[in-house]
Amino acid sequence: MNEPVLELKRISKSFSGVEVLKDISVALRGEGSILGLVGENGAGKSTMMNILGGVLQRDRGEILLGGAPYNPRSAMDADEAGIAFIHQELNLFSNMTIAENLFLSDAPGSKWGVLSYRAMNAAARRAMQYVGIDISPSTLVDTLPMGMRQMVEIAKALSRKARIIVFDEPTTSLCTEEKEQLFTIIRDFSAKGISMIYISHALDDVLALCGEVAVLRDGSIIGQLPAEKATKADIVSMMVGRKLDQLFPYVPKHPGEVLLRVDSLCGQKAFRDISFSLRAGEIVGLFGLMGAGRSELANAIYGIDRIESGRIFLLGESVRNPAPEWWIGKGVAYITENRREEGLLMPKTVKENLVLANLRALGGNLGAIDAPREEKDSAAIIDRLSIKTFDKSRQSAQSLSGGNQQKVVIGKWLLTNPRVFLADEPTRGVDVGAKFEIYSHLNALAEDGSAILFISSEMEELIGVCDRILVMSNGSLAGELDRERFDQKELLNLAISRCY
Amino acid sequence: MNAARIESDSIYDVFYKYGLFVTFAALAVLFSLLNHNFFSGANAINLLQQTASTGIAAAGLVFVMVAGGIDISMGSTIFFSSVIVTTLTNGGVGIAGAIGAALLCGIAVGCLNGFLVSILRIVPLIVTLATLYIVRGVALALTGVQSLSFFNKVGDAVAYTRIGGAIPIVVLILVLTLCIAQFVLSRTLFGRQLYAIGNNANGARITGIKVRRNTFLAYVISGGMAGLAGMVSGAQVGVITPTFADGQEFIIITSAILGGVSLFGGKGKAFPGAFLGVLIVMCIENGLVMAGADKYLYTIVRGLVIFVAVMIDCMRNKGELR
Repeated sequence: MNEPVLELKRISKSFSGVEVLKDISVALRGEGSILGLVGENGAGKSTMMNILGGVLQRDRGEILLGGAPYNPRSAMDADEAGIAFIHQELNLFSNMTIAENLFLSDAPGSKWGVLSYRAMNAAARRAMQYVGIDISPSTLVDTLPMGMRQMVEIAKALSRKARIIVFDEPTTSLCTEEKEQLFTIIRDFSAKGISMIYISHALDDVLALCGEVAVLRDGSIIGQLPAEKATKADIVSMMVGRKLDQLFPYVPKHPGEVLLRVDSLCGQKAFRDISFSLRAGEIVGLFGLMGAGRSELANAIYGIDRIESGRIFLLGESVRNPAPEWWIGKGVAYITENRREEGLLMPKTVKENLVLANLRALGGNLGAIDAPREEKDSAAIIDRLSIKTFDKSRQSAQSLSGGNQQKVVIGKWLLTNPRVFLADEPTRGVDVGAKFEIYSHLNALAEDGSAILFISSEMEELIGVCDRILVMSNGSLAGELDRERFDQKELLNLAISRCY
Repeated sequence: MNAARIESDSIYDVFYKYGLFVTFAALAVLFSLLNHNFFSGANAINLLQQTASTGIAAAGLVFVMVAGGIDISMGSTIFFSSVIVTTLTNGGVGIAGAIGAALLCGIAVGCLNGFLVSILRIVPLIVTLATLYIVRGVALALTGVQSLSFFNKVGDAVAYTRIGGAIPIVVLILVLTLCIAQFVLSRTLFGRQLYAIGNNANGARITGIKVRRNTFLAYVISGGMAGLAGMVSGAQVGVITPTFADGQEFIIITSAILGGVSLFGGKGKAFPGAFLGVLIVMCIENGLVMAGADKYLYTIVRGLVIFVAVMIDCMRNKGELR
């Protein structure tokens, strides 16, 4: 066997006494190999990658790059060593062109710090063609869709002469087509001898793409095994450390009265003529491809975006000019798709975030916050959702793992005792274990008589937990499937039925 | 759906791109109707002379604003520089020395701002608010809160020399400053990196851009340009009163924002952008003078212009992630 391109040997790292990586050893074998790295949130994947990228320094162990010791002290060292990172949140500057983004730190053909746009644009065009995209290099990044932006980031890595590319959850914001495009490029790179580490929660993708899969749990490598020998179930049980009999808990329910009804709702642009109803005690899925108008629909119902025409009924009564504050008062909660920007106050504490939606109820005399009750309420929710926090009044939301952040968002709404839940991608960027917990909480809510609209682009989870699924395609409702008719192919057919 | 969005965006783009020129043209026509002298060559030169100081300072401010900062100490720096230059030239220092001194004064203030903002990481608005008071205070102490007169050879040379008997030297300085500033902003690595910092400072850091150093330099440039502006306007006015250039920072900032330099960072040009903004603001003031407007109208109009400029900026940045 060839010498490994990259080898991590017995790496350990502690933060203030807590060991987050314990004797990690992994290897990227051979040029052009792809190593999948999976593990629950908080398992240590990002710490490991930060050590590789020079952002953090390891406590013990060694890293070999092509057989030679590699000790990055900064992001620049990693860059020079030919290791590039494609982060989940892209590092592009939306106010600049593709060419300017590609060559921000050193530009081809520049002299004395003066740029040659001709040379830059030519090089940028070549770099983009290399990833299979023929586009004007003077296009503003702002105007590109997410998938295209990611290609720019990849082209940037290549123009930096990267030999190893680390992808961190590259598919979370891509639509199916963009995903396929990305995979084609990844396979192409592999054939050209560029090695890759592919981090993702999407296990099917990992198994399809990677030669080997390494599983990380609680800071230790549980195993590194060839992908063709691994099944999804094996990997999941390695990740969570116990056997998960089923990934999705489904509980049969008994739908009651209609809580929320939407009648011929039209948005300004994104959707038109949408009618459906939510009954007490049921979980209704809303599926669609990216851009189908799902989030826009939820935004409009909740009064964040304007409604062109159509009506909304809550418990049979027509709702006029709804606003989020009004809905909260009526027991309707909305978990938005973007927890970083809309769901949480990232620098604030867990406690402050938890009571945020219910502040009005906490206002005692003269509007002063009822501190003991704040304490009690937040503690109860932390307990109920088993949110892992070392100190709810001192830990900030941003230092929680993704799964726990999402639980805080859900907990925040639970405190308002909602009867209707609009949940947009509640499990995005959340690991398998936390997903299971979130599904269970949604089930519990439904059993207590709440109605839940579960918006997701993951078919499997909708099929797994919903009672029926609505499918949107290109802004309109393409169909509805009952639980006995759930079928991935059928869902996808409906989802693309209105695309031109 | 996507195509439609891009299309409607570009309509906005066109509006924002040419709206400035249209506004300027409309103002020019309006004031020429009110006063027949407005559209004369003499008034055009006059207008350019009037814009020189604000235009130079605005060119410097663009560097700071593009990097996502703000500098409200410029008025005080202008005052400080004019006091030092006046004192030196009254003592016999020549024109080269005067220019050097003006730049140095500004650079000193810029270094202080840059140090506080980029090294100590204090909010730019507060840092420059503090230096606004401190620098004016220091300059007032130097003058003993008395007016200084800048009627000497250097002052006359700066204010009245016309190249080829037509182009005033201050206009030349203005044009040169704008050209160099715009070149550095758009055609150098340093300039591009400032736009990156203003767009996403953290991303810039990860990309290997020296965020602190570049931010520091931006403040030094803005200070230096304010220093130069101080010499120019001091020479033009001739008398440096204790309230000289008081509040000028807001005219400079308003002009820049009006000219498309975003308060949110990452966007804007020194030329034509910020300079057109200066012209529009000056046109309005010039027009008010010519129309014989009441004094109180000036401040009201200034306030309205600030409001409109910021409103346009906010509309431009609506819904954009940064």
